[in-house]
Amino acid sequence: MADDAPEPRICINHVAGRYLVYDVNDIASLRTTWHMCGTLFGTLPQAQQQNIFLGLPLELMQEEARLLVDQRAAIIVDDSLAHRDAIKALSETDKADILALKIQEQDKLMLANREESIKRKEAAIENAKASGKWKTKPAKAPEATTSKAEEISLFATMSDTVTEDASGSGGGEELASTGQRTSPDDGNQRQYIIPMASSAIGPHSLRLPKESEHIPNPPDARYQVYKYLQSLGYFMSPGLRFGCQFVAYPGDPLRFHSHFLVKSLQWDEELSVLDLVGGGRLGTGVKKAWMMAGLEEGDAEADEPEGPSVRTFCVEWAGFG
Amino acid sequence: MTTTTETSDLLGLRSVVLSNLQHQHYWTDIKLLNTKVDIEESTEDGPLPRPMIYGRPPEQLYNPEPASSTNESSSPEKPPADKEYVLPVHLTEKLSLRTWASVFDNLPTPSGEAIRGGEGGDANKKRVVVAVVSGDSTVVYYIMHDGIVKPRQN
Repeated sequence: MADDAPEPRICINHVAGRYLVYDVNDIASLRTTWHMCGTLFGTLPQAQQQNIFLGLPLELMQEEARLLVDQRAAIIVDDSLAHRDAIKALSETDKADILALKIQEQDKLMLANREESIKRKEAAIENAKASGKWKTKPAKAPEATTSKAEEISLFATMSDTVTEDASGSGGGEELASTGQRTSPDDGNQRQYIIPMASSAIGPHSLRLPKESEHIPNPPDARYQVYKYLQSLGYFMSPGLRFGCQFVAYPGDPLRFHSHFLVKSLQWDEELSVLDLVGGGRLGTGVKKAWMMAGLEEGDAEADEPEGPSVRTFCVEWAGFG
Repeated sequence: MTTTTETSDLLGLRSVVLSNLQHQHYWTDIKLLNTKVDIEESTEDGPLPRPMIYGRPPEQLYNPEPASSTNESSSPEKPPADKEYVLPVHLTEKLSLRTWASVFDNLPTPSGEAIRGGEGGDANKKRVVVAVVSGDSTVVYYIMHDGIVKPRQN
């Protein structure tokens, strides 16, 4: 990547034709400095239907991605290529580092779990003693300790099984095979889950890939209108919910209702009056105005010093008829 | 630009809207606009892109920036409603942004500051009342503003 960029640019990952942002800090700066909200669409893998609170990644509209690229605020990264290259580029030391990190994490986790289960057991015994039940079976006391040990060993095997199951995928095995370390705790051979998420790779960043050729290319009328309203400070979001191209908010959507349902047109593109009526009626019904907009193409005699500008018309029901 | 048949169609359309305004919605002070000279303050000559109507609705159509302070005090003596420009169109027409722009370009800019106390904001935007006529002579009315004007209820 070129060094001339004054500050680190936002990475927009191009995945299957969509423009995604994975970094929370990038998303925050998009919202605060670029007033772009995008659409979060990450769900839990096991609960896709729980889609009220969606998480990363954030999907950007084509127009948003294009504007950021044009303003040199972001680069488009071809996601699959970037991952492939990054994994190839992992050195042996990187692998050792990651592995060491994983071993540490897992040891810590295991010890914590073990302590917790011992504590739980002791607490249960205390409870039993306190409630008097314990006294009725004094002979069972030694048995309790053995069952405690059993539970520990049971827990250990269970956790190992889980790790073995999960590590069956992809690069995990390869990396795990380089780990010759034997655990101080149980001496069993262990396998490790190495999720190949970008974040886990840490400083060996995926943020230094070649810039992708998938520069978004939205239709010109749409892009010009988007850019115009965006430059006026409107928050623009996709218009699906109101049957238009964009919904324009006068401020952050958390604080404001949207004002306009935007339909972009070319200057000479014909629009049926029925569409205007439909838009106007729908917009008024939801306390918004329906807006049609397009880049003005002046006549020959018209002199426009500022060059072509976007012209907008707002339609609302007149309140009678 | 427009042929004579088209012009007569548009005039027919206007007569439908005219009678609807007069007899269903009780508009007054109605004036028909055919050429630029018909519009007050206009000095140029030449036909308007489309024939229009200028008139006064019985009630003030909404102001983008209502003067809330004067609303309650002056209720017994309501000032007459502002006159509006009406553009008749037919439901099956297809119009381009260029056409809409040419309609607005021939209208005078309203001097909203004095009347409405706005600071050259939305009150100064040109607007027309679009009268959409359907085949069964139903007429519906939409307000179109030239430029970005906040919706009234928001």
